[in-house]
Amino acid sequence: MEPSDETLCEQVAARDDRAFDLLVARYQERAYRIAWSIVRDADDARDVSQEAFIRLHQNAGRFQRRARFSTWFYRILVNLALDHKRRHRWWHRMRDDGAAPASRDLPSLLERLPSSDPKPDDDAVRRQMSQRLWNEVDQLSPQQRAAILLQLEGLSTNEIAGVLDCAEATVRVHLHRALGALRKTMGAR
Amino acid sequence: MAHEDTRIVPWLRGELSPTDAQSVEAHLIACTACRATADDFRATLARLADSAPLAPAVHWGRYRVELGEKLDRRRGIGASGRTRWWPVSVVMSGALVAVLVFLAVQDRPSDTRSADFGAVEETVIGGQLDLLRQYSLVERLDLLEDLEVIRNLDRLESTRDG
Repeated sequence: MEPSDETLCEQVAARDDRAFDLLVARYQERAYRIAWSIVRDADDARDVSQEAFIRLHQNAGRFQRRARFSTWFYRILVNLALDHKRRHRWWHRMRDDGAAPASRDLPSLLERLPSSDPKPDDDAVRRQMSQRLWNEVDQLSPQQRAAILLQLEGLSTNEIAGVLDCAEATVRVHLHRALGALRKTMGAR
Repeated sequence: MAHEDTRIVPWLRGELSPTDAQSVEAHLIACTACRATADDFRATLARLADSAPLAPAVHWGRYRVELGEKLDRRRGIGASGRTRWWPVSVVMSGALVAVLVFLAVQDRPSDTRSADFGAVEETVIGGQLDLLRQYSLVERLDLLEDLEVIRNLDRLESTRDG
């Protein structure tokens, strides 16, 4: 039987490198994807997620079985990603200001090319809508954005509360407000 | 009628208890505003799930190699730090111990030291017991005088007598 994440984490605390490799293999894709969805830069996401694994290696002894390993690890990861985002905000703002005309708001060249799809207009509109939606996600507060991204990862409200270190009721408010803001982008009532 | 502000999302995600879920559903039947909110939230969540941008591909083998290198470097800083500081701390400790011993020896009461050296003196001079008979002559000699001179005091005395 495969050892649980929690058991592996305890083995990492006992300096078992094989257990660490197993945990990395289990979580690397999710860690990178979550980091990327917050920092939106491939290199930064790689660095942030690797740093989360290094922190895991260094602090495995502090893990307590009161929480699930995934909640504990995601908390490290999300905090690192949000912190990275905060520290690099000025750089991204400068880069975006200097970028080609309003790349955030206009569809990319690829999206403007004629499509072979039988319903090009519908698809183009849908893609454009999705892009606007995700641009809007980027505009949410860090806590709201993290709550939305983590619920997309399949975490329960309770687990998101564990990751964000806040009450479950607070997560519900984050999600409600975030979806309220996104709903407007969707051209809702 | 109070609107369902924060129970709509958990209801959509199936996280409410059966009792709470029924309560929300009853409210949604009666309240068009909350029903519209619930419909929009459901559509938004579905759109988010369907259109989540894909993170750029990663070469996982390289990723793990990089991670291993970073971890080694991080450990290395600690290890080399220990390697660098270990001999220094040992040398410093040794030096400190030497200084403390030296100071302890220096600060020992003089009578103890003289007792130690006295024992040596007694051993050396023990062989010259005959000289002590002529103590009045010995006490006039400089203590730093060569023992050879002391050993030949008899001859000096006889020369003087002669």
